[in-house]
Amino acid sequence: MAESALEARGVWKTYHTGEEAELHALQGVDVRLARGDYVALMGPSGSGKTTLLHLLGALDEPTKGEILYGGKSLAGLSAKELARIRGRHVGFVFQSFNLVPRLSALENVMLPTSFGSGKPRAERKARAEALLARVGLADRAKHTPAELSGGQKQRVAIARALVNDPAVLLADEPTGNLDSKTGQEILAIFDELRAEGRTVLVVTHDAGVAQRADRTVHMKDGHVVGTSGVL
Amino acid sequence: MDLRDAFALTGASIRTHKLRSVLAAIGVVLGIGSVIGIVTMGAGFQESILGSFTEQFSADLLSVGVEQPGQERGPPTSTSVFAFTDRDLAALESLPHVKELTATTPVPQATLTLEGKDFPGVVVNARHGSSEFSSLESGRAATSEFEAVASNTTAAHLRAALNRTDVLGTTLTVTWPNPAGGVQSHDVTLVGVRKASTFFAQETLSVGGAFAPPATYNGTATHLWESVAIRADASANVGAVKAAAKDYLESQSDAKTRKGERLVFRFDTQADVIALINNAIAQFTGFIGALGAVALLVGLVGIANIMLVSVQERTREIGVMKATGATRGEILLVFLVESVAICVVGAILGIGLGMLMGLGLNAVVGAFSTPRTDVPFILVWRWYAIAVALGVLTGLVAGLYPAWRAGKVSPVEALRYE
Repeated sequence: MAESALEARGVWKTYHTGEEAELHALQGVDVRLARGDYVALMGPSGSGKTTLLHLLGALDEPTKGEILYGGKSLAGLSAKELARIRGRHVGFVFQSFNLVPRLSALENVMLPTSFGSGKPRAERKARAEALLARVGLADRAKHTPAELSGGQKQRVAIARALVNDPAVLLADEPTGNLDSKTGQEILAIFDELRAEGRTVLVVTHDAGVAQRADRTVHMKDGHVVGTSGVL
Repeated sequence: MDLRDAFALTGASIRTHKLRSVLAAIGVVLGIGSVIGIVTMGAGFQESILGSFTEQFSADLLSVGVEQPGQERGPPTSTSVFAFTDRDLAALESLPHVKELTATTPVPQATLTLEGKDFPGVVVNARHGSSEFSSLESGRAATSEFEAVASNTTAAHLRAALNRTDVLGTTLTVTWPNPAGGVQSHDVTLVGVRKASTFFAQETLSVGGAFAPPATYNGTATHLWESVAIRADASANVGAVKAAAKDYLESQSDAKTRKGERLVFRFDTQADVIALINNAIAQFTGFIGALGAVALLVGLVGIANIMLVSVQERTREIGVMKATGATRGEILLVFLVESVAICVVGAILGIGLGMLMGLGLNAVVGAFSTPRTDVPFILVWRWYAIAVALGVLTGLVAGLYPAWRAGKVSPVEALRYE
């Protein structure tokens, strides 16, 4: 097995929903992604797949267990260090795109480079322009999200996820808000990214999406219930 | 994150919420505007008063009189103590740096008659040439003992009584008691009208020395004078003249004995009066300025409120920023920059508004003062700098809590936020 890019080891996530009530969103989950893996995460609503994605993306911290990046645990890192991990090592793609409505496509792509990057603005802008061109939106750089179609918005979001050249790409239902043809175009971009050697994790409940991944991890009620596909 | 990135985000936010940002800034505009407006008016008012002062008597003048110890500072008032003798005047006149000297004294119980009717006014006996000490509104200085110079208020009474605009050349009769019994009188001709002056009594007619009651002191015939005005050869030497005059008067003068133990000498220079006026105006502008500060405080609360709404509204955006690598500090910076930007723009607009308000207040104050004056428009640069600094401070204070809240938002919850 190749070197681990991203790993969840015995991860629990518990939410306190009332005085005594506890909700165990994740109950001892182990997931391991090797460098260059393309993995789909499937399961019904409430199975904990989005929670796991957030933990793997360092957006949240597990109640128990640990998340490892390249074999190193995130446990004990400061909020600032976690923010830098999110900025440099992970790219997020969301179902609802999460573009900043006021900013142009180009400014949205540049947004992650604003944080903690010491690179000159011109260089960061050139990188963002190149990525927009790569996803076929060079001529839409000055448009705001409201002026873009769903597929175009998701392409902007992918360009934004890639702007800091992260090793890992985490996508939460990336085609959930798109028609199937547009969805296929987005998935084609994921195939390319994977071919570049990036590690890709896609949360979905669309078997068609999961099919494109090397393997699929199935979740239910906070547990990993099985893995299908090539190991 | 560099400031240009923060400004790019801020600019986009302010552009999107133009109305809201403008409303937020209005509080600051009004606060800063009223402070600048009042300060501008105060400065103009000050300049106007000091300007007319400089016109009335230049800074090279020193006035000497006697007063009760501890008396409130203000324009000299008549003490009816005629302390200074001709010998004192001669001694003072010979001090170094003294260019010229004059003295005045009221003629006791003198009355003025105009065309057979009594006319209000105090007759002041002035040493020859004294009217040259204040600028004349019209006419010329008296050159003989039977020529008179009226204060501008006395001249106004004359104009009203005679129903004429030009009162120069009018003959008035001065009647005064004869120490030997009975009364004596003499006609005087009005040759000049003085400009308004705070150094000289308001309603006076200055006449020559012939009207002074004859007196002797230490066996010598002399005039007796109530107050002395000394002009130095340069305004820079007024201090030296004052020191020398004080030195003489408190050691060898006749006035020292004549005034008695109870009274003290008073020395007024224009510097004293200017300080007095500056102090009064500073108190006034300070008070009104405090009202402006209250308006600014209201503006601060408004900005804080708008920023809290903005943080709430942009929760999801904060989540996106955090997901893409923003630290708490960077989120804090984005919101602080926005708050400070709104306040600084508000402060700059407020300076503009304040200048306009100052112009308006100047016109109003000028129109309501007697006599009507043109209050000059003064640029108060120091206050413009203070206003911008206040804007930055207001932005920081108003933005700090909302920005802190923004930084604290959990990324997972923020991304879930609808």
